[in-house]
Amino acid sequence: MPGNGRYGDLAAFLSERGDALLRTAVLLAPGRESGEDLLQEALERMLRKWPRVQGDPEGYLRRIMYHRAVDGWRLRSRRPEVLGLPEDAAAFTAADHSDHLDLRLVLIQALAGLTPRQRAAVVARHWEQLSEAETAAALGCSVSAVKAATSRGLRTLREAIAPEAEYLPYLTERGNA
Amino acid sequence: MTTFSGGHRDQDPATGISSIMAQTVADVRLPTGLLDQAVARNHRRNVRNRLIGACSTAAVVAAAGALVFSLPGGAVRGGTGTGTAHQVQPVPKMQTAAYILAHVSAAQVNSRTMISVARDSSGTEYTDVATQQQRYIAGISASNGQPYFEWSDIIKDGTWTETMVVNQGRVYSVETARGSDAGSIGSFLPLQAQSNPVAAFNTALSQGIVKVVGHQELGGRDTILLRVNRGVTQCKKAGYPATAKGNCANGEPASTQPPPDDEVWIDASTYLVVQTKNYKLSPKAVKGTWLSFITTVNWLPPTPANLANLSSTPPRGYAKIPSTGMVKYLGPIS
Repeated sequence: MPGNGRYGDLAAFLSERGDALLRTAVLLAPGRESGEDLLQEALERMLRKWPRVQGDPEGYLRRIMYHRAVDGWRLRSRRPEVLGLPEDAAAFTAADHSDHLDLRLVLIQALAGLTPRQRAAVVARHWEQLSEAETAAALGCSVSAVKAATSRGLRTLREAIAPEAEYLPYLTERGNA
Repeated sequence: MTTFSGGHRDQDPATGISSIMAQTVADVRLPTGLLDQAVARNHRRNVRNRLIGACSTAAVVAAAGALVFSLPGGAVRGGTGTGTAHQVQPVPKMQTAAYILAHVSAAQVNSRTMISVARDSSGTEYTDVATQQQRYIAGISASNGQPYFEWSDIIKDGTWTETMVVNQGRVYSVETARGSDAGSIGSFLPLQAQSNPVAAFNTALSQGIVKVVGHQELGGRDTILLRVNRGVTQCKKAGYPATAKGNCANGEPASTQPPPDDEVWIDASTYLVVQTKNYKLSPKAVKGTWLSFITTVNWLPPTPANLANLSSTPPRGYAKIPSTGMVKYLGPIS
């Protein structure tokens, strides 16, 4: 079992950092199930080299996820992607939380409308808070490519989200500026 | 070392994107069993790769010494390693490369109503393209003459179920997961999964990534041979320029030579893929050495008899064990 022996270290690492990794994967994929699929594939790839992985396994795993997100891991799929709802979606159907649920779904849908590179750049810059240089290194492209992808991705996201985000005044204000 | 903050600090008030991202994934938790599944699937992959290596009769070729040479006009000379391929005839002028690729793409789309049977040196894989139900039967035998092992994947009502039967050990396992594994089956053709595969083929054609070589008789069948520059394709996919070494630092091991072009044989009347020849880096041979692997493909209608080939049923008397426990029983061949 992964919890013991050969993969014990990896299991311990995932118990600590698994949630954060999956959150990034959900944004990169995008979608709950797609994110789990992406993370699982990244894990599989890392397992192939696990005995030789030294240093920062989180960085290694994230690089795989970013590369796979950009280089078309979806090419494996011939099925139309079904956006995954949060497992506790029912809890958000109450009126008090409906806006939140809508916005979450809108974000996932808007992310799905970006190109893989735009999505990865936006997630790296605005979720991971990586610098442009770090993002370029993670995606294996130039800083200028990161700038362009981030700018275009943000513009598309803003256009998609702004109508749904009236409860976030600063978003609407800046989005219309 | 790069620090990943997870975006909990909202540092981009200009858009608020970080805040919305944080809300979106706030309740996301790593499900139990994800690592178990990755370990099991990785092991299955290792087993299969070892089987390919153990059973392959494919020749080891260096990239620089590829066996097939292009000739002006699209004809080729030399063997292709299939043993049954004959002289290539240039594609008649009436059939342009774009025309052929458009028909090839359409045929792959239409194949969604069929069952593909892919055979290589490691075993046989049945795939119901519509449902993505699959069954794999190992090519090597257990001591009782049955296949050493087999597995089947079924995706139904959003649940993925894999049944693995090891005849050598008289054990089986059943693993289930939500539908997150639904997209694990790729096309026999690159670019086919693009949103507009015809346009993608045309672009690849203009860039020299895909070439329509010509007609070739293959086992008595009239086929059309395509060549795909995999190294360039991989880099294009990732958005990188191809390097002189044919890799783009994107997961492929470094090699001293680029991979030879993949080859795909298309039935000249149905335009369905009937054979592929791919290359993988040899894990043991000298750096830059490529192993060739040939897969033959047959297409069957989804009749009840053919659909029955897609299920693995553990024989009576076999013991059910956890999927991760299969390592013990597959160990001798992994």
